[in-house]
Amino acid sequence: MSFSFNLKMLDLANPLVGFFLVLIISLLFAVAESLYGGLSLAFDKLVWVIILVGSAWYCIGVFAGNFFVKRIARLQRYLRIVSNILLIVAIYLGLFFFLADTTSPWQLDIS
Amino acid sequence: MAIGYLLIAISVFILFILFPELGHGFIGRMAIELGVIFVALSFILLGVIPTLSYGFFKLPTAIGYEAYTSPIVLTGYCGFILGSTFLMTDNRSWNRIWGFMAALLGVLFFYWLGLWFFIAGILLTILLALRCFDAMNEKEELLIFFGMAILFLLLIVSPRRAFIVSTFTSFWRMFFSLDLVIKSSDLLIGTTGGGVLFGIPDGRVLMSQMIYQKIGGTWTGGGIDATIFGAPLMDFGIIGLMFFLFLLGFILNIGYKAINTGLKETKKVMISAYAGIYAFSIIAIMRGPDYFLVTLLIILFAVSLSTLSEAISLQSLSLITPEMRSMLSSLYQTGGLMYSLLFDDDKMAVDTLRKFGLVKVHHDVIRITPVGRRVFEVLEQGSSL
Repeated sequence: MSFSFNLKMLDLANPLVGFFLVLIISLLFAVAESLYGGLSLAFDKLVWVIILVGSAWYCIGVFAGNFFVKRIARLQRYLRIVSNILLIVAIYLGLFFFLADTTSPWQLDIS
Repeated sequence: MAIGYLLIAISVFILFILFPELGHGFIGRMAIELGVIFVALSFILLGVIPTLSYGFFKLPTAIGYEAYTSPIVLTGYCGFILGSTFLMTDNRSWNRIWGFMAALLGVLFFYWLGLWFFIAGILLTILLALRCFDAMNEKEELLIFFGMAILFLLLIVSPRRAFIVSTFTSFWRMFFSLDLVIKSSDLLIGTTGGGVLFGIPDGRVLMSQMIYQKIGGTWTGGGIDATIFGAPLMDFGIIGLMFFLFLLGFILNIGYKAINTGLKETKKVMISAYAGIYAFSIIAIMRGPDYFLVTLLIILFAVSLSTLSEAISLQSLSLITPEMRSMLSSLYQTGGLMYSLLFDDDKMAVDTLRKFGLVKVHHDVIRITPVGRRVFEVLEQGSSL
């Protein structure tokens, strides 16, 4: 039995795979940089706790998405209404941010 | 002039939402033009090309950090990623070449702006979009993957980078920033109450100010990249962190489920949206979330829900007999109201349609009233199922 590595096996588009791949690579880079630069990796223990708690809740969110996707889709009659409302909210937010930006030429005075 | 640009942005958005049949080539080119206009505008606002300002061309004054992450730059970024993914997934090979060219142009522009994370975002979006479409074989994928990695490394270790920040402490610095955030904020209820996640034009500047305030230094400008955990933690404490990451995972996974459902044209839109927003979330793991990510996540959730509802329509339509399809098509052509007697098979189909809210049915002599135009679009395209 031979095993050959196939890049397609690594489903980068999966939110779980991408998130942890990037997080672990970043942590490895941080360790390498601290070793190379003689920096201390002795952060507060809370940093590691926060990373663990955050990642755990991200996982819970992903699994909740798996669990609820069919239940959400069964509410088909209401989905269009909800998605339209969300789109309007997003457009409103986008326009508001756009106009309230202090660096843009179309600045809106919201003070 | 300003209102003109805004109108262009709104009209492209409306075209994109309302008329997907205009073709991806057209919308892709429009998006890229929008990207070029907005990035050029940001250069004009900055007054200089930041990464090219050595020696003689050196900046006359300090650049306002806020100009870097203003909605103008972000709109330009969106234009480039949407445009290049749309063109790359088009059937015509000429459009695909234009898509790659546009992506390279985007990389060049954001290199000039010095926004490294956005370069990573463009490259990641393209890789993800091509992968979701299954458009590459394994060798091409490896080639593109390593090509992108080398390009990004070359860009990140450029001489100008060394002036701005020590290259070898980029990742360490972000975890150190998270450490500072933890030490300078109230972990239980948070300190800034939404100012970082929803701050305009960049909430991470507020995070930097709060840290300086806590440690007693003088804030001289600039924001802080405190990983994806930093901003919600400073805003709303540990509960906010848990809630934000839960929602992030939930919405991204709903989007991931939705990309493989839906019709051909919807699938293209969905993959472009998912690849762009997912790539932005991935770079936010190190860059930190801001109002723009929040807005994009709302859009992704809305688009996913819409696609999922269409997928359910398709499932229900697959139960319909061919006779029923032709009947409903003629109903669509003649105008929305029909009196007919149905056979048993058709009754089942009508029950299914009624269950999912696609038609209203009145008994005895059966009158079918279609609900919305959408069902017939689905029906016409789904008849090959």
